[in-house]
Amino acid sequence: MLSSGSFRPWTTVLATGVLAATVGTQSDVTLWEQPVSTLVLTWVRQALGWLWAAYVALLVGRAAVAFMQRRGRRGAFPDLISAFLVAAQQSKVAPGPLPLSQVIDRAFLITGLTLPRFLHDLPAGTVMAFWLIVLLTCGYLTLDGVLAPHHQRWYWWSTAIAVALWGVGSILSPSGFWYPD
Amino acid sequence: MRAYLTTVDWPRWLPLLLWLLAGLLIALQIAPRLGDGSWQYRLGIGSIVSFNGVPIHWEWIDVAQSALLAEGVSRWHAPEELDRWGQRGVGLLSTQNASRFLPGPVVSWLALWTRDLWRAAVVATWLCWFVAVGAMYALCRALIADPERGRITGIIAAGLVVFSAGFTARASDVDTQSFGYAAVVVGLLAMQRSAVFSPGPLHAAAHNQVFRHMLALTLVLFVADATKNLGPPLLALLWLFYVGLDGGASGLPLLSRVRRAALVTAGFIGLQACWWLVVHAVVLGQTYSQNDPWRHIAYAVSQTGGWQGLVGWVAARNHTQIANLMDSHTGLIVLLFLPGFLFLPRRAALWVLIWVVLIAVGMTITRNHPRTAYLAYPGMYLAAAAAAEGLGRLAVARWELWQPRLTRWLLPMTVVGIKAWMVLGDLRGDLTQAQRWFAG
Repeated sequence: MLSSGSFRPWTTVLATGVLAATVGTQSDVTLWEQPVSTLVLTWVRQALGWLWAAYVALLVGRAAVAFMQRRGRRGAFPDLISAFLVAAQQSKVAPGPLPLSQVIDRAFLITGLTLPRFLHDLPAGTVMAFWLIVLLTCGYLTLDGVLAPHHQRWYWWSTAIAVALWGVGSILSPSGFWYPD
Repeated sequence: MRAYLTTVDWPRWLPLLLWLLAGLLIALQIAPRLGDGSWQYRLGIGSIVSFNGVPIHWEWIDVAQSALLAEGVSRWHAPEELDRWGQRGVGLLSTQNASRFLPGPVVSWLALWTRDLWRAAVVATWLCWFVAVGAMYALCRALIADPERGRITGIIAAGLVVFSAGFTARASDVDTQSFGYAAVVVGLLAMQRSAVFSPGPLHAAAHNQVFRHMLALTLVLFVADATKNLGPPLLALLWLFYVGLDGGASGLPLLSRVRRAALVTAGFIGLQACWWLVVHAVVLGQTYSQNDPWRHIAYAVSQTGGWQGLVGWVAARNHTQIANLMDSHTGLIVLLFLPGFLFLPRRAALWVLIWVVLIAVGMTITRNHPRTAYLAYPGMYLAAAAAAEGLGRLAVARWELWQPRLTRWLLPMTVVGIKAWMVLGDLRGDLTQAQRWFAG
């Protein structure tokens, strides 16, 4: 998990950001126009959307920081192919399956590929994000006894491509398949 | 002669050939049942609508609702021309479509390639059917310890799934049933193969194998539930069979088994709670109740009127249940079910009995239809296949027959052939099986 090793700073940043965004985007909600339950659900809805997006953003940020640190250690900026080969080599020698925290983080990162589809309404994307995390984690845990560790990275690549294709397809044709002439 | 009963030389190309054959047979069965060849259309059932010129069952809108929920296209911000949620109920999200969520997004995703919803649903049906055949074979091998008997029983049972009334009935529809029929056998296989009850320490460390197996099983149950509300019967099997009646075989003390099953159950309930929180938040609580199992159970309880009423009510429901079991699985399978117990190993027989009883109980307290009864097929087909395999083996052992290998396969293949003859009846103009399926 993102929080592992540095639990308090990350979660504090995440919680503060989500709270601020939720309050900020609720400024147009008026208390007297709707029942309390709807108001509460509206707040929960916004919070879920911001929580998802903020967590993905922090994961991407952490990956970028790690990349820059590696660049600093090497003294030169590695090109993408070299970086990929190093990562592939590391995954080949990595003993055993991925820890659960990394599995969930990778699933979260892949949900980030659907963010462009839901930029206009982040909370609406939490449904897809929830199920992608469930399905990707379920798939990995089911397959980790079947796939060799050096083949497991293909699981993440292939699922990422499948999700990205869905994201692009649904932007190009939002629900167009569902309506007969 | 005895050698044929213990070891058979299997050519290396045979598994690949059988997989190809299964895929081809499924495709050949789907093709003539599309559009105006579907059972419902040919029966003249009045629930058919035209979808881009293709006659399909009107409940395609339920699958669409799940897909729209996934895509974030809801009625409160969809353009006017896209607002079709009103076709279901009162324009709100049906709780059934939130709980049977997965088929919608899957069909929607496949439609990216097929460029058409209906074609995507047909592809999805083929995939579900094929997965069910493979999972049925693997389940038989997992439940029957003898590898040779397990393999032959698995091939027979897989053959019975290939000629399945359940998948055939909805071959041309955009529907969740095929997903449910695939998920039930995959869920049962995952539970049988899971090492949740293997000896070893349990703690929530990242690399603890038992913990990972428990999490995997919890997620599989949750995913299976999202096709046809399969979580409760699968969890009941976990408790009754793997914790209770067969629990001793795992070598774990009862308390450890209870603890692990309780954690899986709690995980399942926790995931359900998270899902419903997300659903209610996203649609701002604008849902309406449809087909919720707990409502059916509450209605069943209200109908019983005390213990005397309960007995009469259950007896009345069970009368139609047996008819529904016959209608969905065919009389041949029901006939072979009882002798199957004689040939199945004790553990597998117990497993079959519990699963079939669980589905029967589920039908009693929820919905009593052939399509619900068909969820018992992993147990029914396993027992029927064991009967066919056992009778074939018995025939070879008793009599010195010419070509013993052929004889051993003759009876099982005859059983699969009769099943095929019954299910394929509509292609000969005989709609008896179709009428039985939809009569419930």
